[in-house]
Amino acid sequence: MKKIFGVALGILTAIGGFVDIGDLVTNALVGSRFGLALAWVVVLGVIGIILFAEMSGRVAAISGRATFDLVRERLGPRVGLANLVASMGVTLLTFIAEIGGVALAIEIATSVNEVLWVPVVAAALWIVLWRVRFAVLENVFGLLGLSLIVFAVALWKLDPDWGGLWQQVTTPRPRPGETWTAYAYYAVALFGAALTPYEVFFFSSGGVEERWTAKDLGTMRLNVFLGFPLGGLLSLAVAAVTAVVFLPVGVQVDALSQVPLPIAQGVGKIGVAIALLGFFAATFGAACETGLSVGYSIAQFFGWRWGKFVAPRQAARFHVVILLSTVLAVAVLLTTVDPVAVTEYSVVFSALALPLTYLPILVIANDPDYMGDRVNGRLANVLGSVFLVVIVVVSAAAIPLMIITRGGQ
Amino acid sequence: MAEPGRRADHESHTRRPQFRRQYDAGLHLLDRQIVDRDGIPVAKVDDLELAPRADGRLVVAALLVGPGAVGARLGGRLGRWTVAIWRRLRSDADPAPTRIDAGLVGGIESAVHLRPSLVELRRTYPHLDGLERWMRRYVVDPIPGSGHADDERTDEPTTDPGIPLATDAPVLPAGGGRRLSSLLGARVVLPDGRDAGRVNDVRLTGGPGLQTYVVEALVTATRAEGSMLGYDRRAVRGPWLVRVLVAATHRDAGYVPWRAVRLIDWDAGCVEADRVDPLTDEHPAS
Amino acid sequence: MRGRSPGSGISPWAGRCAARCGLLGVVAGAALAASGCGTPEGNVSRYQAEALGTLRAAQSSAQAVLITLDLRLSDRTFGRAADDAVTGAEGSLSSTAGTFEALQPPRGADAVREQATSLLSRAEDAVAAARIAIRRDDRTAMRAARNDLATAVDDLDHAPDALS
Repeated sequence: MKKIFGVALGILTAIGGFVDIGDLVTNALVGSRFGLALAWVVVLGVIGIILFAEMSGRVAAISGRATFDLVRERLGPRVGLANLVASMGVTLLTFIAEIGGVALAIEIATSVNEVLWVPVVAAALWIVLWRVRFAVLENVFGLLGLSLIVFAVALWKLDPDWGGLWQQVTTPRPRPGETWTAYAYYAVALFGAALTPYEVFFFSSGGVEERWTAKDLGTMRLNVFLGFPLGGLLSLAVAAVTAVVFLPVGVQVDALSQVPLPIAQGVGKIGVAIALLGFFAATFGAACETGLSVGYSIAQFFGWRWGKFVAPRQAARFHVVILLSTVLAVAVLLTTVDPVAVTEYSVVFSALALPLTYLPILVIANDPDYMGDRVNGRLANVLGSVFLVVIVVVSAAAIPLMIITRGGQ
Repeated sequence: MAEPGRRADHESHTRRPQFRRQYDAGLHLLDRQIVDRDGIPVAKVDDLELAPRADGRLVVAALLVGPGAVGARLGGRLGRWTVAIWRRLRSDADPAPTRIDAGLVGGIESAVHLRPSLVELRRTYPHLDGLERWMRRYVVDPIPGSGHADDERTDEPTTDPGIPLATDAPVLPAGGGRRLSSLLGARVVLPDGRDAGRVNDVRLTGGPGLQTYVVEALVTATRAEGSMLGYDRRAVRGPWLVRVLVAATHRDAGYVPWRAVRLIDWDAGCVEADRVDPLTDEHPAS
Repeated sequence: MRGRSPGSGISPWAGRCAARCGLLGVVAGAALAASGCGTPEGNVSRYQAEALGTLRAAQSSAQAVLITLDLRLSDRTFGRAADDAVTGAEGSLSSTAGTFEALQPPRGADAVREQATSLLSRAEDAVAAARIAIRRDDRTAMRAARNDLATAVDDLDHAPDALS
């Protein structure tokens, strides 16, 4: 009974923890401009993250080593350092975006400008990580993130033209008034939002810290195969509600404050309250995860002690890295840069940095030295190779598209 | 979900760490995580110290860790700066990188397992965790709430540094050791003066006990760059796409058994060998 | 110029080069003038496209405010959330409008500018009125603002036909 509870908890937190500020903003924006014509990208992205999360979880369970640990071993100190700098840069950018997202969520509820909330949020976040409370609160944030189901509820209550929505899904092209380059740019952005590197670092590091073994593989796979697709459905629900309410009247979502409006229309005040709670939980949880991931990548590269269960005295360098990252994030956000703009850049740069993260995972998951007889099967390798090609194409296209569309216009 | 906190038993998945008969030093030892008796991360293997035995064979003498060791492998300006900064921060005039004796290694699995605990290691090697201790003392400790109440404060070095730990290592002449990194990338020259590629890796045989491993052969490659993720060395597995890429970029891996090595000029980065055999399945990949 | 030694006076090359440069300049100037880029303000069709883009963004912001007003009037959302959405849209609208109004219109595009700015300022007024009403939680004012806003949005919707 306790085991079933544990498994269910894992799946539920995987669903609730899937969506972060990048998914929220990008899906809301895409839904309002392209409807569900980019839904296939979300599906592709979810399959990709399932594939690579399973691989890195398996690597953590069988070899006892986390992803970035092994990146340096396989690539050597020089290339590994370049990989570290790039991955860390992207994760740091995502961290800044998440903190900004938390501040925005509080702004919507209080009408006090987000810039004023940034130091408060950062301080709370840092205290949670310093006092090792995230280890305890992780499940709480995951479950509260399930509040975002209100998007699916709102969609149902808005009584949309389901046939019309399905028509959008099966017509993967830009609507009149939108260009193919903008369509491609947002495809890249959605893909980057679904496959953010920090998810894999966090997942595998958590697995190592919790001492997963071969016995835990079944639970891990259940979390990944059930939790992530349902989380992806939540992302699609965000896109669908903005498609139903904003697309017909030509509103292009450019602020987080517009995202609860379709919920208000479908469900009313209670829906808005639940949605805001969901925004807060999803972004704060993701902020903790990205902050820890910045620390994980550096600590694992240099061989330092790390962990969300480890007190600062025992892992001083790791915690100082997190502290410095938090200070940097506050400094950037205090320049009053728009957190939504930061989010959009973070997903595109995530797409750019994808090959760095995923190629080593694919290689390591095939290595009998680490994996024994649990190396990738044929299906995993075929899918992995296909995705590698997709990832390289997406990565190569990211910057040119960003320049051509001037950031998605 | 597992309970937080430390565990006394091994992290290497309920099995005592062991040794295999054969290792490729670059592939299996360099950049590997070093953990202590309890599985706590200590450092990365930044370099290896090879020392000549009485019979002329090279044995693994020690693991080298720290910026002083990794600087040489980073190469170029970055490597030089790393070493320069490290020298500046060390108080002694001519610092040597932290050298963990090979006899302290209890097994090599996906990590290099040391037999002593982290606390004992810190006592023996006072410079092992310099940055960590500095950060702890000046940044972490002043901030409240940084530790658990039941922490033992035994991490500070005692007044008499260098308490020797019991090891099985044979006594080697101090200073006779050479770094593996100066051998990797060395040019291989045949008797007629022809260039036969570069040393890509070093094959070690021996065990159990890291100090018993001797250099059995050199693995060479025509290209100067590293080992292409290890795919050149083993019965190639993995996604077809990666295999094709590796095959395209990495032909002509070579094998020089120890008896064919005439001379190693460490300072010039040059190895004279009688012959270079092609690397085939006769020389089984580890 | 190449080949000119100091103090040698004007060489024969200089004269030929000067003539060539002059001819080049005349040709370039004619080409630029023909393409409409001769004046520093840019050409009319590009300005018009810029105007349409601005009006489209303005319509998006104004429509969002309209939706928010309706939701607030039917009490389906909180005052603070509505305030935040409207304030954000107002800021976005004024920044888009400001960017457009700062552009120097090319000759012949003055009518476009006048139409566009009049549409924009009406939208800005309506949005400001909506914001004031929402912050005061004044339902009468909200209804009045809603009517003005609906008209402004409607006009913005028809802007492409009006301008071309």
